[in-house]
Amino acid sequence: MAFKWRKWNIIIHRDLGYLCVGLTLIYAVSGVAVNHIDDWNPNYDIQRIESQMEPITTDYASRDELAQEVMRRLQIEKPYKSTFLPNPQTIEIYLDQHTITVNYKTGVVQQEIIKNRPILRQFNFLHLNEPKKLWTWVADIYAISLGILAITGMFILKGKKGITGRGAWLTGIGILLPVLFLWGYF
Amino acid sequence: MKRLFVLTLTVLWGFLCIHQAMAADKRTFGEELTLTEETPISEITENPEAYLGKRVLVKGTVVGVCAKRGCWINLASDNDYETLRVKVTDGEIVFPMDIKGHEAWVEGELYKLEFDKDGNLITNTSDDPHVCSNHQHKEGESCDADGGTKAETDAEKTETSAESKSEVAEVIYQLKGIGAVVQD
Repeated sequence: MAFKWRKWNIIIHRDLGYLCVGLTLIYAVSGVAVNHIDDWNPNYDIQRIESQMEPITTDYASRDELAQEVMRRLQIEKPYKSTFLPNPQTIEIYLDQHTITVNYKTGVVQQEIIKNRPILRQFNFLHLNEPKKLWTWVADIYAISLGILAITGMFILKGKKGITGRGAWLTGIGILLPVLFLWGYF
Repeated sequence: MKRLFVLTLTVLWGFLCIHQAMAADKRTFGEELTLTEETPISEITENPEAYLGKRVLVKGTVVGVCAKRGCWINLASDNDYETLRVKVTDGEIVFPMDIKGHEAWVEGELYKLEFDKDGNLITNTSDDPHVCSNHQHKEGESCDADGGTKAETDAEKTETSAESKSEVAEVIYQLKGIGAVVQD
């Protein structure tokens, strides 16, 4: 019995295609998001708020005491993680995804609140391989699967609409497109 | 087919549960740390030339993170008013913004950047052309698509070395980070 390669080609293309749907959508959405990284932040929504409080004129014995006084004045009850003095007039107080910068001599307060962009942060986390470890293998297998999908896809149809007819022209255009851009830009 | 789906889902879920249970209270980035002796950041900032090209382990609070690409962090020194920028190779390590305020240990190599009076980079002793230096990119900003200023080529360096040395207006030392551990 002859080996029915076209039948197996279709089976591989079909089942691998189903398996790749989830990841393809993740990579597609994230791909568009990170393509425009110069225009926006695809991972975080950063809110910056400026306000004014009474300047602090008292000298505090420790940075912690100063931070507590700032927190009291700003009526923020959440615990802070750490503090830093970038210069002699300024204290930075770090809370969870929230930084308070206070020039305690002038009383100018700047708050930076960071929120993960829902879905996009997670998609980009996977797309840019931030987890590393086992995910690197999953991403490699996915990349190989895309290659297999591309090759098997060319041989799904026979005849005029297959790779010997219309398919040849479209495949040629698809290959020429990156070549032209490389020629022009690289 | 339904059984295969349920089985796959169960195995994956089980794996993730084990992984979560084993997750420590520290997050790791890049290569594993090999050094055990910490060098205070203040020692490096006091005498940077002594550490140039050397591998060091530093510890400090993360006080700044590259908002867009996660390609650098600023570590607070053990002295007030001082920080050290850690630059990592783009994509190899991506620092998330939620590590701001956390304590971190970073291993890396110190390198030097020299700028002329117009802020143009004239010397970069690291092999990373994307310098994202504190000089050019303040907190909340990021390197541009090309990764910021690129150092000149070796040929250009030779050609202008004598001339450019006299034009150095600012010298910045950064750590090329290869591995980091951040306390959660």
